[in-house]
Amino acid sequence: MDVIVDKKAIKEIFVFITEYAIQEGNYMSIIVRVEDLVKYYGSGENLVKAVDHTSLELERGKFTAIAGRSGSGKSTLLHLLGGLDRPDSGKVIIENQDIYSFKDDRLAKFRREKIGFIFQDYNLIPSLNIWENVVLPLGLDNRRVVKEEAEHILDKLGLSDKKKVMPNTLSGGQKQRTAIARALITNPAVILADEPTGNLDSQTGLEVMHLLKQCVSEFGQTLVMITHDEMISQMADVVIVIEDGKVVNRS
Amino acid sequence: MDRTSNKKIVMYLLLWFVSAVILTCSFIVFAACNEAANRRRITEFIQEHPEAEADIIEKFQTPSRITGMNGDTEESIHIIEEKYGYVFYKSVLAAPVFYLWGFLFICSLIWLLLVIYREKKWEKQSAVLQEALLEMLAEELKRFQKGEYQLSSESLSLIEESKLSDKWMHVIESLKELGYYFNDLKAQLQEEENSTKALITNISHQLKVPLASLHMNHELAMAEGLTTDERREFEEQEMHEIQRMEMLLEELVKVSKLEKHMITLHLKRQGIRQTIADAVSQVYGKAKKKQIDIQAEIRQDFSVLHDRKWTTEALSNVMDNAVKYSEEQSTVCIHVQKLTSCLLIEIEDEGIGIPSGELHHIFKRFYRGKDAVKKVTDGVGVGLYLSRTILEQQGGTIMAKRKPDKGTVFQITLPI
Repeated sequence: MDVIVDKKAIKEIFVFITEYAIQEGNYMSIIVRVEDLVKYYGSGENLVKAVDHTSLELERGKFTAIAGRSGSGKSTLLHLLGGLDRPDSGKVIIENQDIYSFKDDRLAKFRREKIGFIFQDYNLIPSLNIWENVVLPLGLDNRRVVKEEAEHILDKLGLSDKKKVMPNTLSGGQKQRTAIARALITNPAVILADEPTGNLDSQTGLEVMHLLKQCVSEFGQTLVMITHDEMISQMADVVIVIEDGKVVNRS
Repeated sequence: MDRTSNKKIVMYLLLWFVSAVILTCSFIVFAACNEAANRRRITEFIQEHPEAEADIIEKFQTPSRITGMNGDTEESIHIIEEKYGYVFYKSVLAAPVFYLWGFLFICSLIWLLLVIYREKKWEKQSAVLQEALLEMLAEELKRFQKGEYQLSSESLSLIEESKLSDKWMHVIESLKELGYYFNDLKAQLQEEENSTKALITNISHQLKVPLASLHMNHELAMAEGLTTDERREFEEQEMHEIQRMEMLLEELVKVSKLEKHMITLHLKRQGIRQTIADAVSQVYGKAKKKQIDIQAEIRQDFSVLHDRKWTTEALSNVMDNAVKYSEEQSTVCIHVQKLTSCLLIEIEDEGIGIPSGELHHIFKRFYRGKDAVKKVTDGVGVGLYLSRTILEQQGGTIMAKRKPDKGTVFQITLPI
């Protein structure tokens, strides 16, 4: 079939699409796509199917909770989503890039640029103060620290007056807020959180969740959180239930 | 693309020119040095062998010309070498440097031609590729019009085979994204259509029950031979059904408003105490009827950025639920507490509670729990959905928590 090419019209469309692309994040789309992901540990009788042929899609800008009993493979899944581990087979596609097609150093760089991590036990570096802990991910890639942005994030999380303080003097909630600030500083597309409120009392946990949700909606990020707390999964837009390495329910 | 390619060629030309100039300059300097050295040696030779001078002068007639031009020096050397067997430095034309210079010059010329040829070829290729890509774009857009939002396999193989510039990759990625977006939109529309259908079914069902009951009551009231008391009872029943229908319709109007994004929030920094008081007064009548005590302990007023009208709506929906699903003579408690970065409002009841399996469904549109349906027959299941939407639009959160013994606590946060 002959295609009549109207060059002018296509140029206009070209411009339109380019402009559309600039306004990224203004519309909903799939940001993370998991295709037939497999990760087994051990062998023979000790074989653990941590992630067993799992496929799922995460929408941009949504809050997805991954729920399941301990040992159901949800942490392994989160680690695979974030490129912290390598799967036995299957693909993880983040922003249309298959992250496991990358070599290790490229993967690490991609991870630092696109993904923010928040862990249950905060993982702050004890010898650095709060400011240094927060801007550390930028330093690892030799990226410039935009002071105003960092200050804005700290202010948002109520840490402006704690910049020079060492982590061991902080409370659990403050430590987790620091970890959130550290995850936000690189302005990642996806934030992966592994039971961020697990070590906090319910009120502090609620507050951390409130802040996390607020930040994520302000900065337009996609939040994926592991939790076995049914209270927290109420706040999620999508809840994915994992059992024995498989998605059993999505609601 | 043409422009960048031309730019490249100009750059290469410039580079070549500069290097050629440097090469030539250095050659000239070398030649001049060589010439000077030779001239010096001839002069020295003549001083040592004055008899030679005659030969040379004879050749050139004037002695001054010995130290003259290049060709003269050359000739002088030739004469001296032939006659006296004296060996001078080689002339510059015989020097290896001259050949090296020539070689480098020719090499650079060949390189330049090759580069220009490659650029032109690439330009031609990229023009062809661009044409193909434009055609692909046209075809893909046609597919989009037909409702197929995924790139065809031919397009994908074309993209994979050709090394595309970042700009083109960006456009293609955007096209893919656009496809995903349209796909999602389609799915969303489908979902919305389904939920609208569910809504219509729900509404008609909800309206049918009170209408049938109203109809029956009306027929009974119209019957002859009723006592005044009996008639009044029927009329009261009619009134009750009418009220129920009114309430239902009110709920449905709210839902349709919310669905059509007709709610716009006007955020203002104001005290939360008044908002809570407004919400309480909305459910107060209902609570009093069931002898439910609403205890609101707000010792301190907090200034919070919120929309009073809609926040009242959100809070009263939660309180209304608390009253609806509680036994008579129970208590509903409201606590307000300031946390470091947000305000926490807790609404606690002693009602039937929410089974843990239903907890993360309760904020969904039209969701009604199994026990809730048994307890209260009318209601569409939009109250909590409305509350969550309103609160989240203000940067707040809401969640429900089962109390260990009996009842539920709703925890609402609003940013300070």
